[in-house]
Amino acid sequence: MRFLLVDRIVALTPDTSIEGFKTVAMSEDYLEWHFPERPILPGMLILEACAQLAGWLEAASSDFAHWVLLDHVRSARYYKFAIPGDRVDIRLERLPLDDPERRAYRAETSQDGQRGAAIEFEARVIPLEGLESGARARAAFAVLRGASA
Amino acid sequence: MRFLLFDRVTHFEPGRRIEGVKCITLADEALKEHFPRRALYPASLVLESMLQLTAWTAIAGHNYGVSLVLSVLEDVALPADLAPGTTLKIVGELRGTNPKGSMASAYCEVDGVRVASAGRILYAHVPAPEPDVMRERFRYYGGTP
Repeated sequence: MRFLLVDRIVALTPDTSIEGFKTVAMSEDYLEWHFPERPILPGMLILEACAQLAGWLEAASSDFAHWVLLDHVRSARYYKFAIPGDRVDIRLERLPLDDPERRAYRAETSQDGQRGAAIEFEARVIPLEGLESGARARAAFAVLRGASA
Repeated sequence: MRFLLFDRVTHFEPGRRIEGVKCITLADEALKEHFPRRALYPASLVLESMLQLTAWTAIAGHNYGVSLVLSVLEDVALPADLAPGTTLKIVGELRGTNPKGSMASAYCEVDGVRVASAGRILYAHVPAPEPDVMRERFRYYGGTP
């Protein structure tokens, strides 16, 4: 499994919000286990998709100097299963937080306009350079923005 | 990636409490992208380990006749910098259950130090395969000979 839980970024307002989506394919290997004979996108991978979108919002807002790492989930509520063939649309916005080294977010997901999940979480800001090269991150971001389409 | 996020069950009280371990290895495929220059085990997968292991307390408490899916989480603290080579001890405790759902909490320790906790986990119950199938899955997932 490639641990890339965002397929496309469709809108971004620096330091404020980001929108993207993840599609769910029957060919994804984790579905063999979650669950046998009943494939459902794990709720934790929806959380991870939100955390990765938060990373891209931070990177794009800092000229690819920063990323964020999830370390606290305030709450998560799951309303509808995401199954193969679904596109999970995610809208994530930054929430006020009085700490320059941390971020807080609220994410809402939907499938075909129906509410999927609502998640509030916090993350720690870290330098992107220690995780991967800025050039590689910029290239990946361009792909997510549809540059190769 | 095999989405089986605990490696062994070390203590089990059906319907009450479960303990197990999860080994974090550099061979994990998730670490290729997370991240290319520094392998940090994703915090979301630590949470998934707690959820998967803890679910079996409720499943066993219902005689392996239900399957569980996550419904609500509250008050979750996670480690952002777990490195390969770490062994997580996971403890899950069932707080309440009825035919429709279960409530639980869980935590993880590394070398006796708590590194993660999930204060409130709500699972919804969904129909399961035959109880014998669920028992066999638990036997395999839990590393029981």
